[in-house]
Amino acid sequence: MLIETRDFGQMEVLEADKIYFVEPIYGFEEYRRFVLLCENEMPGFFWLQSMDEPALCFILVEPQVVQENYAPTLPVAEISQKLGQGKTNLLLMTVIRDNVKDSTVNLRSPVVLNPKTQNGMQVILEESLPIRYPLAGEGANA
Amino acid sequence: MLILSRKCNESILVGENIEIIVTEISGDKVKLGIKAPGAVTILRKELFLTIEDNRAASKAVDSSALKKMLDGLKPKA
Repeated sequence: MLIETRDFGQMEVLEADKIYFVEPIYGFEEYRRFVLLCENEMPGFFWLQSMDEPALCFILVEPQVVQENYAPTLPVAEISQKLGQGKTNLLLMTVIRDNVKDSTVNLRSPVVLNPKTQNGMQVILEESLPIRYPLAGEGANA
Repeated sequence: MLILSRKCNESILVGENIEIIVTEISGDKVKLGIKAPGAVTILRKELFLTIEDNRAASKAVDSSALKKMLDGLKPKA
């Protein structure tokens, strides 16, 4: 099906690209239907595009791009109850600013996706990880 | 910042119409009861910060700035 996206104009998306947020992204309660898009030139990054509002889009990143050993304790029971059984993937919310040094990633509240059931949710971890961790990593050069 | 010690079931009053009560102390967790008018928003801090961060995250980005930024990052395999 054809959808209007914020950053890529009109795009053809497949059923398999769709994600339904069983629990909404905090602050965006009315938006549940999204598609996950990626761009060949930007591996590790994903665009979470709302299917209902073309202007609503989040840029997510694979944790390993930012922190190789990101392996937080997850509320597994709650996750499988909400998203269904099966392996889940974590993606992190990024706040991208014009200057690399100002761009950040949220390690505290990962987006959890179950690719098999195509359900998603955002989890706020108990561990007090930073909400605004530098995307370029600690001590990295821009 | 004002620091107060409370035992279980003791209260703190904030402003004219907010009361915070320690309802349970168990291990390293404290359970707090909050009485406030319905119009007052009460959130765990990390939830408030997550909402704020999500809102910032949803702002549109100039894709050339994004590409330039990515040139400075090395995705780990």
